Amino acid sequence: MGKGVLLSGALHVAAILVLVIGLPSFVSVPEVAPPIPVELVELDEQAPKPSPKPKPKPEPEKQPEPEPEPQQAEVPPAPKPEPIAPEPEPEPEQVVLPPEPEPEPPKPEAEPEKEKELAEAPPKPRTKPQLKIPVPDQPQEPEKKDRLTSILRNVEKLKEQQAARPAEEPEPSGAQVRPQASPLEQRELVRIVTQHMSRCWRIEPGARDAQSLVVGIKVLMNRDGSVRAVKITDTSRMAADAFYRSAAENARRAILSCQPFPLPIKRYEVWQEMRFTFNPSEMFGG
Amino acid sequence: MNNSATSFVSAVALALAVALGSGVPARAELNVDITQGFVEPLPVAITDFYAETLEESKTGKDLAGVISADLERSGLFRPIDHGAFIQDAASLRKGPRFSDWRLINAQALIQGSVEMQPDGRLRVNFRLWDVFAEQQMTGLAYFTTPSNWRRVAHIVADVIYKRLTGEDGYFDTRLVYVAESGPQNRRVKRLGIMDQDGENHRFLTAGNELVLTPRFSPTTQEITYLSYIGEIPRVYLFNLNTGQQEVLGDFPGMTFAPRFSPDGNKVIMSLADDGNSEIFTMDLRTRGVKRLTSHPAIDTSPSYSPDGRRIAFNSDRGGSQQLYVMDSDGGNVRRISFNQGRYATPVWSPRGDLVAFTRMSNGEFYIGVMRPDGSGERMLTKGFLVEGPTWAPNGRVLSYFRQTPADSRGRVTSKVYTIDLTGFNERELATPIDASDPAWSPLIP
Repeated sequence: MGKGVLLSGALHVAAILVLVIGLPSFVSVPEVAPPIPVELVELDEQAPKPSPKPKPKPEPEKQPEPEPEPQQAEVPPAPKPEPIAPEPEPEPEQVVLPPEPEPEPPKPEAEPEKEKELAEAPPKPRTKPQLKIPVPDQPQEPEKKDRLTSILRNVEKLKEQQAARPAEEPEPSGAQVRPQASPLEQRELVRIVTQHMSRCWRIEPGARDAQSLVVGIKVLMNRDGSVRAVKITDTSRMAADAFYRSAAENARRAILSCQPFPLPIKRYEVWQEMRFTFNPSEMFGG
Repeated sequence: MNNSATSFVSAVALALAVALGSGVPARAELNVDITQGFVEPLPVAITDFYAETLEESKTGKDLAGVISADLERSGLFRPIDHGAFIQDAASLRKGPRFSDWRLINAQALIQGSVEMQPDGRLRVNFRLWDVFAEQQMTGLAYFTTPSNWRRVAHIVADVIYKRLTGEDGYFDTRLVYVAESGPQNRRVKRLGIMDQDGENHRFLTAGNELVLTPRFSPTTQEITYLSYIGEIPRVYLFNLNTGQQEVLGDFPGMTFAPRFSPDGNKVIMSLADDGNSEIFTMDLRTRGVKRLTSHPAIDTSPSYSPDGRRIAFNSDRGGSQQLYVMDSDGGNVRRISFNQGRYATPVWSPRGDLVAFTRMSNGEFYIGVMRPDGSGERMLTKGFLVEGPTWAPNGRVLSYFRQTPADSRGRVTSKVYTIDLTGFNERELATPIDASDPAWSPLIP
């Protein structure tokens, strides 16, 4: 009997240990870690972080708007067009507005979030499904076909371009996950995400070197397929390169506007963290 | 009891064994490569700028209208119809309700206000919001005289364009062009100027003499153009701000006005020397002329790269008229066009990455672009006659003119167009009368 009690006690301790440490990896129950707040999206309700930088940047704008209509009749044959005097209008001055009505929420990308913190966020589903945004405006069919097949137009080769590249299903070209899911299953999840995202990712093919603007974004998901957190990984390039910044912000918008993702909840542990790489080069024909 | 206890024991033992055996499991992360997207204008909500008085409200509405038209015309944005807006202007002043704007799929939101200052100036505020990230992207205020509101609208549109695309804007710009009227054999040609959106149109010359090929300085509000004194082409330098005009010289055999160097201090042109056309530069201060090419073939239409280190031009030295690039001292000449047909009027993009040109092949004209090494050649548009490409200062958009064949009464029409360098979004730029030879200004300083 005493032995039984001892054994029972040991087992209870073991059971508690299991609960605390976590189940073996093949079952993969999410780790129970202290909740670390991860910021994102609905920051507008949070404590304002007033960052007023009233940088009055008076930019002396010249106003060269010519004023009087030149009287064409008066212009003498020796070409002396009527002088077009600069309008005496003062140049518009420019002032940088502090984000005043609604203090600018801290930018996620400026956050010194560590990847670890992102990784350890509790995978509890958000109670507020505030981000389940219907995306009413799916890309429309009609004249878009043209654009998909040739994002840079060549009127001379239009027919060939269209014939050469039928609108193809977005092909998941990358699918690697560490442990847990079988390659097949990973591929299927990636396929779901890429297919879903192809309706949300708007690219700007005319930007300089648009084909080489490759953006990495780390995403934390909620169980309901909504996005808990997004983080553009290359923050230094964000700060230094306006083209990259707009491409990255555009990719982030694509993710945010695409939620919720239609992913199977029973495989949540596989997709709760995703690393997106947006690479438009294929659309330019490689 | 005993049975279940045993199974419990074994389950826990197994769990413990696996947990300890495998150590801490690595965190999974699904890697997703997104390679397919779509090209479509970005839906943006541009609200009327808020104001307290009736008069200011009208200005606020006009401002939003011009900004909206600018962005729409670029082909990169789709302003959302105001009827779809959920949040009203008054409550918007306290901050956007992002969910309302997401509902109508506005990716960006532009709000603003207009307020007359005690000193009689107009204060225009605006803010640009990222609706999905729920962040302010920029917010600026401008002070100006009320009559200058239109220009402020263009400046605001440029800021928005730049913030959302990374590219400098081009809305606060103008185009000079050749306005044409009268029958073909007695065509009256004079210089016209208008804002980039066709507003504020007026004529600069009277039409007593023929004017041709105006070219904008990339640094100042100055143009060169060609005119005829009798049979002799004369080149003028015209300052749009002061109205002052001077003669650069008489140049026999010249067919195109000189183009400016990127710093605006020189012009580059082709001149007939001994009956053969060669390329020269002229210093605008000293008027010193320097010869760059010396070849028995015809070399014409030079255009500088934006860094001033290279020059694109066309030449028939290879047999047919093709595009060439050389160093700015005239050395290292190499051919860059190899397609069939003839190439003309290369114009180096202010962004540096492309050269626009006209090509004639199989009885048709094309406006095309290629990289300065000749790769990536694409024809953007074609027609019976399309000619005279000129770049918007950001190198994103081209303007050119399009002429129709003569109708039964011998009449032709000629109109100015713009097209995005992607080859999409071709638009007519309406002018009061026929128009040709557009020249795009730099951003107004």
